[in-house]
Formats: sequence, C-alpha cells, structure tokens
Amino acid sequence: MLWMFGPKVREVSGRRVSPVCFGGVLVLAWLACLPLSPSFAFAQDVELIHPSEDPYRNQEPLRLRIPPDLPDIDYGTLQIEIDQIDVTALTEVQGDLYFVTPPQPLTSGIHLLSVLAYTNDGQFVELGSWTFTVEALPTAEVAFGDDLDAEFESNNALEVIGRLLDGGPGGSSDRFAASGGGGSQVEVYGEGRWRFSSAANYFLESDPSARLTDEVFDIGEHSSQLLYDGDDLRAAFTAGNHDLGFDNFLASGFYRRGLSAHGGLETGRLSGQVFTFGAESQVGARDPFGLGDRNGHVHGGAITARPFELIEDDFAITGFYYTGEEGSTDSFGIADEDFDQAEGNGWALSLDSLWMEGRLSLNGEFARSHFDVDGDSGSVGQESSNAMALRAGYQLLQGEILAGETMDLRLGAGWERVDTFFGSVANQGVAQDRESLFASAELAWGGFFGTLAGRDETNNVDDLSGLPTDRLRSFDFNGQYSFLLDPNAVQLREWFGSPFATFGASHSTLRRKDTPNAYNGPDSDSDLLSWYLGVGSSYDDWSWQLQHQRSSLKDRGATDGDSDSATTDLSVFWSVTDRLGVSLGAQYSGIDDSGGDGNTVNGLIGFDAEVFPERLNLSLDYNMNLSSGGADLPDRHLVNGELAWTLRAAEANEAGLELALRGSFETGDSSSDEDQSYEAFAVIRLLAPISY
Amino acid sequence: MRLSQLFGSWRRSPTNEVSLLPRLSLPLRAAALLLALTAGIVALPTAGRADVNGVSVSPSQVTVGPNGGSVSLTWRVNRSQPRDPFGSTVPVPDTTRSTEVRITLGGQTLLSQPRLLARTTSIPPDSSETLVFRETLPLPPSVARALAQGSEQSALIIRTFQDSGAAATQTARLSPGGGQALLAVQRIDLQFETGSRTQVVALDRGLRAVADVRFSGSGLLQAEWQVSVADGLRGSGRFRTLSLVRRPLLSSGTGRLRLFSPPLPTEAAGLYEVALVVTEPDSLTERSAIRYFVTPDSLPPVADIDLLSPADGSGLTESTLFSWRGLPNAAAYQIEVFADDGEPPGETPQVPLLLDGSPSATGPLSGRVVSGTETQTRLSQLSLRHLPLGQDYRWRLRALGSSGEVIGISPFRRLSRQ
Repeated sequence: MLWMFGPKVREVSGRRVSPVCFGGVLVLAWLACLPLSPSFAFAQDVELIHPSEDPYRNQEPLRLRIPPDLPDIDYGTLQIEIDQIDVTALTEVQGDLYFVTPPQPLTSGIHLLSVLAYTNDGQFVELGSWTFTVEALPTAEVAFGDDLDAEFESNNALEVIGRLLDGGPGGSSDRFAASGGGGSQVEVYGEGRWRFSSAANYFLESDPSARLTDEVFDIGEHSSQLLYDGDDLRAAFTAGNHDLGFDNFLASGFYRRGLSAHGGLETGRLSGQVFTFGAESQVGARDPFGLGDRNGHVHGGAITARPFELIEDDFAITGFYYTGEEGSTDSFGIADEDFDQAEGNGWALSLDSLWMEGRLSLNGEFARSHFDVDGDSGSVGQESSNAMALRAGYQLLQGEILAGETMDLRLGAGWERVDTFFGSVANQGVAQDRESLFASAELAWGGFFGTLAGRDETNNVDDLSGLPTDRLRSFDFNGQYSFLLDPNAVQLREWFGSPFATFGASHSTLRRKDTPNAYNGPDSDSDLLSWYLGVGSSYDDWSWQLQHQRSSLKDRGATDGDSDSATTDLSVFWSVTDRLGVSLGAQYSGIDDSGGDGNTVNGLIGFDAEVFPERLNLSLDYNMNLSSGGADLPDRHLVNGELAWTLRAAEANEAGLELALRGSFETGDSSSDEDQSYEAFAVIRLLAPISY
Repeated sequence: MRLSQLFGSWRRSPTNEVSLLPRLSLPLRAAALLLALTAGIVALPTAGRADVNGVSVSPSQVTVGPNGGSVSLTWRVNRSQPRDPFGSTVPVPDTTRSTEVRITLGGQTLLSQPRLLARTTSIPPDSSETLVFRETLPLPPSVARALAQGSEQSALIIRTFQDSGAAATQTARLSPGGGQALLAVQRIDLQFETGSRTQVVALDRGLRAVADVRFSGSGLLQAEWQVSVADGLRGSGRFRTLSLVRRPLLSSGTGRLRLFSPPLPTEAAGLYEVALVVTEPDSLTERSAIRYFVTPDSLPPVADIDLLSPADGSGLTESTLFSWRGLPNAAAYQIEVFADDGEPPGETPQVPLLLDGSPSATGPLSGRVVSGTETQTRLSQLSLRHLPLGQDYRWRLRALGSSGEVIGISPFRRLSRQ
C-alpha cells in the first residue's frame, strides 16, 4: 500500500466517541447491537496515553491505561479493537498499562481504537473508544490532481547466463543466454467512484527453444479494468486476459483474451454484459485484445434481472447468448485432439432464487446450442441440442449447537441432462451425453466437515440406435477433522501442533442398461472402490502430512481388465532456523493391472538456506524417480542447485544485483557417461523493483 | 584374383563394388560386371526381399464415444529375411512401413488417412524379428457418429504393413461405446489457480497449477506433475517430477476432472515450465504446459492459505471454529469478515489490505488477530456485535510476517448470521 510508508498522526481525538459517528457500516453494526448498549460509566477511568499529542510512528505500540480495579468488570472478557478487528492477542500488559502493537503499519486515514468488556453480570460495556488520523508522508503521495491517487508496483528481473561447463547427452543450445521476467500493476482511484487497474507480465528469452512466443521479448498476459461505482449505476470495462465470468452449460471457466463491458443499476435490479473474446487461449503482444481471425472469436452478451420487488435480491433471471468459432492457432496451455475448427452459437436462460430467508435455494438452467463440431469444412453438419438442469439446496441446520459445537447441515439435490451432441465454443470441456440425478449433504460440526454425495447417470441421451446405454452409480464421502487442542496448552501444542485428519471413500458401479441389437462391442460391468486416509499437523515452523490411498477397479466387461493401485504420500516442511528451511516429499505408487505389476517411487528433498544473512543464499533440490515392472521407465536422479550472492540488495525503487552459480546434474540407471549429464552456469541477475 | 575373392568382397561390402573395379584390368572388369549383374538378377528376388509374415494388433477391439476421440493401438509386425543364396550372414537393411490407415463400415470406407508408420531395421538372412508400432489414432466425429447412429455395429480399422517382400494386413474392430470404452484423455486445459496461463511471481510465493481434464471411458489415469527449470527448457530436457497422479476413473461416457498440482517450486529465481504429463492412457499427442518466472523477493511474496473450517456457506455463531493450515514464518493471522457483495466465493476482493483507515462498505466489519503459532480461533460475542443477524458475509484469513508484511492470504468463504 502506498500509504504505509511513514505515517504520522495528524490529529488525535482524545475524547471518547460513539461508533455511530464512524461511517455507514458502523451505523449498521451499532444499530444491530443496541441491545448491548455500552455503558459510559468508566469513561473517565480508561485512558489512551499514546497516540496523544506525540507523533505516531510506524507500527509502534498504542498505549492504554486501564485501571485494574474497575468495578464489576470481568477482565477475562476484555477486548481491544482497532477498526473493529479484535487485536487483544497482540496486547502486552505491564501493570495497568496495555501495549497494543498493530500487526501491520496503520494505513493513512481515521482509525478507531476501542476497549470493551463484559460486566460480571454479563452486560456489555464499552470502556472507551478513540479516533485518531494517520496521514501519509507527502513524499509518498502521487497526485493526479486533487482527487486522484495512484499506486504502481513492478517487480522485474533480468538474468545473463553463461554456461561454464557441461557434459553428457543433451545440453543447452546456446553458451550465453539472456532471460528475464517481470510483472507490473497500476491502480488509480478517483473521487471514490472511479477505479482503474491494469496488470501485465512479460518475458524475455534469447534462446528460441525457451521462448514463450516467437519473440525475444513479449508480453505474457495482461488485463486492464475501469470501474465506476456511482449512486445509481455501476459499470466496468475490462480489456485483456480475463474470465468471462459465467458458469453455465455454454460458458464455464472461459479465461481468454478479449474485451467486455458490464453495467448495472446500483440496486442490482438490472445488469448487463457484452463481450468479445478470442476463442483460443493466447499469450504475447500479437493480437492484444483477442480480436484477430487466427484465434477465432466468441461474441455475445448477457442480461440479469431481479424483476420482483418483494424478493428482489432473491430471484434473478439471466439470459445469455453467444456466437463463436474456434481459431486456427494452437491454444496455449491446452492439449486437445482437434480435427477442424468448431463453430456454433447458443442461448441460455437461468433462474436463481432464494426462499425461506435464504435457507432454500432453487436453480434452473436451460441452454440451447447450435454446434458444428468440425465447422464448414467437415462432413458433420450442425447439431441443435439442449442442456438443462434443476438444482435445489436446503440449509437444514444452521448454527445449531450440539454437544457444545456449532452444527451446519446443508442438503442438495438436482437433475442434469446434456444431449449427446451438445457443444459450445465457450465451454470446450463440457461433459456431453449424460443424464444425471444427484444428491448431496454437507455437514460441519465443530472441527468436522464432511460431504456425502450420490449420483445416478446414464449416457445415450439422444437414444442413438447403435450406441449402448450404460448406467453409472456412484457414492462419495469426503471428510476432514481438525482436532481441538487447548490454545493455552503450549507444551501440548508444540508437540502436536494443530493436527488434522482427512478421509474419504467412494464406490462406483458401471452397468449396461440397454444393448443395441447385434451389438458386438464389449459389455459394461465394472466396479470401482477407492478410499484414502490422511493425517497431518502444523505448528509455528513445521508442518507434515501423510496420506494413503487405495483403489480397485474390477472391469469384467472391457478388454482392459482389472487394476489395483495404492499410493502413499508424505510431505514434511521444517524451518530449522530463520535461515534454513528443509522440505521433504516422498511418494510411493504401486499398480497391478493387465500390464503387470508396476511400482514407482518419487522423492524430493529441498534445502533453502541463508548462508550469510541477506548476502549468500543456497537453494538445493534433489529429485529421485525410480520405477519398475509395468511402469518401468529409466530411473532418474536429478540435483538442481543455485548459490546466489547479493552484491546489492534490491529494494523498492532501488536496483539490485546478484551473482549466482547454478547447475544441475542428472544420472540414470548406470554410471556410464551416456547416462549422466550435467551443466553449470554463471548468472548475473539484475533486479528492478518499483513501487509508488 | 579369384572369383570367390571378388564375390567375397561383394558380399562383405555390397556398396563398395564399384570401388573394387578400378583395381582390375578392363577385361576382368567387364567379366566381373557381367557376373555381378547376373548374380544380382538371381539374388534380388530372394536375398534382398524381406517378407511381412504376419501382423497382430492389441487391443483387437476398441470403442469410441459418439463425439469421437482417439484410440491407442499397438501393432506387432513379424518380418523375416530369406536365406542368402550365398550363405551370407550379414544383416540386410530393410524398411517396414504402413502408409495409411483405413476405417471401413459395412464394406464402405469411412476414412482413409495417410498416417505413416515406418521403421528401418537390419536382420541377418534366414532370420525374423517382430517390430512394435504404437500409435494414437484420432477418430473424427464423422466416424464416431456414423457408428453410433448406424445399424452396422462395428467398423474395422485396417492397416497393411509391407517391406520389400510380401505384405500383411490386420484389422482392429471399432465399436460405438459409452462408459466401458478404454479410458482416453481428450483434453487438458492447464492454468494457474488464478485462471492465467503465465505468471511472474516473487521468490517463495505459493503457486499451484490446475488441470481441467476431459476424458471418456473408464480406467486408471496415470500422470505426473513435472517442472522443468530453465536449462531443461533450453535443451537438456531435465525436469523434476513433483508428484505422481493415480486416479481411477469411471464414467458413463464422458467426464470432467480437476487436478491440482502440488506447490510449484519458487525457491530459486528463473524461468520454469509446469506440465501435467499423462503416461496412461497415451491418447493425447500434444503436450500441455504453462510457464512462470520467479523473481527474487524484492517485493513481499504472498502465499495461499488453506482454510479448514468453517465450510463455505456455514452459519456464524460464537462457537464457530475458524481453522487453517499454518504458514511458516507467520507472526500473526488475521480473520476478516466483510459484507457479502454477491461475488462468488474465492474471488479476489477489491478491498483494502489491512486496518485501512477508512472503514467503509468495502472494509472488514469485524475480525480477529491471533499469534502466528495459532491455527484456529473463534470470534467473540463482542466481535459478533459488528455483524447483524439475518445477513450474509464473506471472510478470509491473512498471514502477516514479523514486519507486518502480508505473507499469505486465503480465498473468500461465505458465512451467514441467521
């Protein structure tokens, strides 16, 4: 934050003030707590010593004097708040002096300090509250006129790399290379209504084989957004890589490059969005807004209305339309078996509602798609198909107390149907051809949280004559439990930390429901049983987790046969000292299937050490990957390391310089030269962090 | 020079016969050429011609869903080299190839596609060998739909293998199928948790990748999360296996799965590439990988905090337990409860970072700070007074370092006060 640097107190109000004076939100909070009206009987007894007239310095303790003999006060319930956040845990008590060190430098502006407690007969008492203002140093201000403020942050690194030695097969293509990366973001605020933010990352790479795109220097991804929050209207315009923001049958998880505009009434009664995106995932400065033909397109819009005044926040109808065509370029980060450029359009209507004071949610969705999976050039014509869903959720228990612990129980059920040839350019991963009934339960009770879900699903929704119909039935249970240890039992906590357990099991069956006449493919008759159990803990400077998972797939119909697998996973982290951290990971996997037995062991050990504080850092990693049997791949042992010497430490707006030695060594099954390779590099690293 | 010597040289080094000629006189050269040609004419149909004796395919029967996909086939080709009429045992090179794959349905060709499988090997005369060709064959939607919609119940995938001699043909049966089809990964969409596909992060920043996997059929998915460091990308190919993925999958036809990577290495600066490499089934021919660059920690890094409780959408009372997985080097944790602005849980909020001096509709309404050794706490009744009943809220947790810097932050979860 811009205002963190060197705040000072501009004004201190030593009198006690009511929170009513402290903004609209506090008004609500205050009104809600009227039954617990504070008493001011102790107004003259509790005193704020600092800040008073002295300037308040960065993150120094606030000092209070609270007499130890206030009548009728339960000192065990004493609570000190800064800006309504309970910071009692940070309080140090010396006699009647209370020192409260904010966990973070206070930002500029008005702050509220409050001291609260209960009386012995259970009445809420406000012992006192004070406001004080912290303003930023003038040097930290960036002014774009009187009403605009801005923040800019950028983190950049450039490496010049020279290969010192190498051996064995493979190796870097160039003896010298330059590599770098950076990310910058800017935010501009104005008058409390306008807000502009922009962020981009960029990569530099001299070696063509390691470049992000064909260019030596190129943008990775970028995004800019202009927001307006007016009295009656909210609006946003976004350009660059961002999510379309919908989760329906036609558009889901669609993070692409494009332009979108969003506007709506402040009341939330009506909002709309229009968008144009490239259809393919892309990086680089070429086609900066996803409008080029090579990347295809997805155009469309959506309108959401909350038409009924009585339940305006609880009943929303959304209409969505898109038209799109896949591009002719590779999609970055996506592996896909594509034949031709799919194209299509579609519309969707969804209804979301809340009833019974929000305990019951009902949702319905219908989508109509016109989709040509192989485009104009393919032999498959356009298909018109539907997808629809009905979902319900009910909060059966909320905040109920059972055996001294809070219990929440939420039940859910639904039905989904997606036609066999349903498709969308904006939801290319949609699972087609399924009709499902499902039910679920979520239970939270004290330290326990668990979900239980069941599903009954069939395929061949379009009732195709040549396609067999299979039925999948599955039951899943997943749970976790956090052990509740006494926070005051320090020795117990140091040994056991905060332990937790994870556990779960699932059982699925696949059976043939309907077989076409004269069908000569394999039968469907499979059972899958799997379970897992894990334990772990963390405390202060260490953490660990151990998990074991087993699964058994009995496939009596297909040609692939049965498979059993077992995986055991251990991960440990220990911050040995402030300057040495050790991590350990070990994973064992055993598989027994039609291809025979196969075992794989994967091990990771990492050391991260500050050899000389803020000067010399060492990072060392070892990876072992051993396999045998059906999964027999060459054994590998790989050591990576870097020793970095900081010649000049980088700080905000001050460039830094590091020298590093970096290398890796890999060996395989044998000790022959052909099975070993190594490389070592000298690296000059220039750092340029910028912050305004 | 005796003829046996001449032919001995010929047999030992058949490609050098021309170089032998200059050492002979002209009549002998002519005689040698004549004999060589004669021997060649006699020998060509026998010693130089290898036969494909037979082909087998595994599996012999495969299925495909109505929307297409791919099938993996292993062709085993047995070829033999006839006995050399002169008794030579010198291995003879030959290329075994299949130039196209055909798919027929009811005798009609649905697909004829040039897809070369070829291998050149040398075996001695009077011996045989078995060559193994593995291929992942994409099946276009037109073929899959013709099968699913047609009355003919199975198609044939046909390949003919040939070398310089006899050829042999083998077929695999292709049927329309649903859940019993062999597992095939159709698509992997790899991204970071934020949705982006490139990242520039500070040293020791928590970072994970997410793979959205679309699959068909049923079986055991075997994959590895792999990370290549810069020198691996620049030619050495060295990579670190971060974790193994073993996930049994059962579907009625198609399914979708999200896989989260373990924490990605950010302990050393430089360029990295992360990939989810599927080893079984090998139905994808493309590789999905995304890249990130780690910069030294000149600006504070922020890690992700895993929340344990309460669950998203839980009720909030005095006994509600807030618990999380601890971060190393945390000096304090701060719970922050905000008014619910309708954004879905997990969204990054546009709110001030901490104890902002201007509480407003976007600032925290209530919260609690605890020591960095704690990983669970509850809100007091005094703190709950800031949160009126009958309203919905969102909360998150932030971890603070010893200097007050934010070193970790959790996604948002919803709460309600009923």
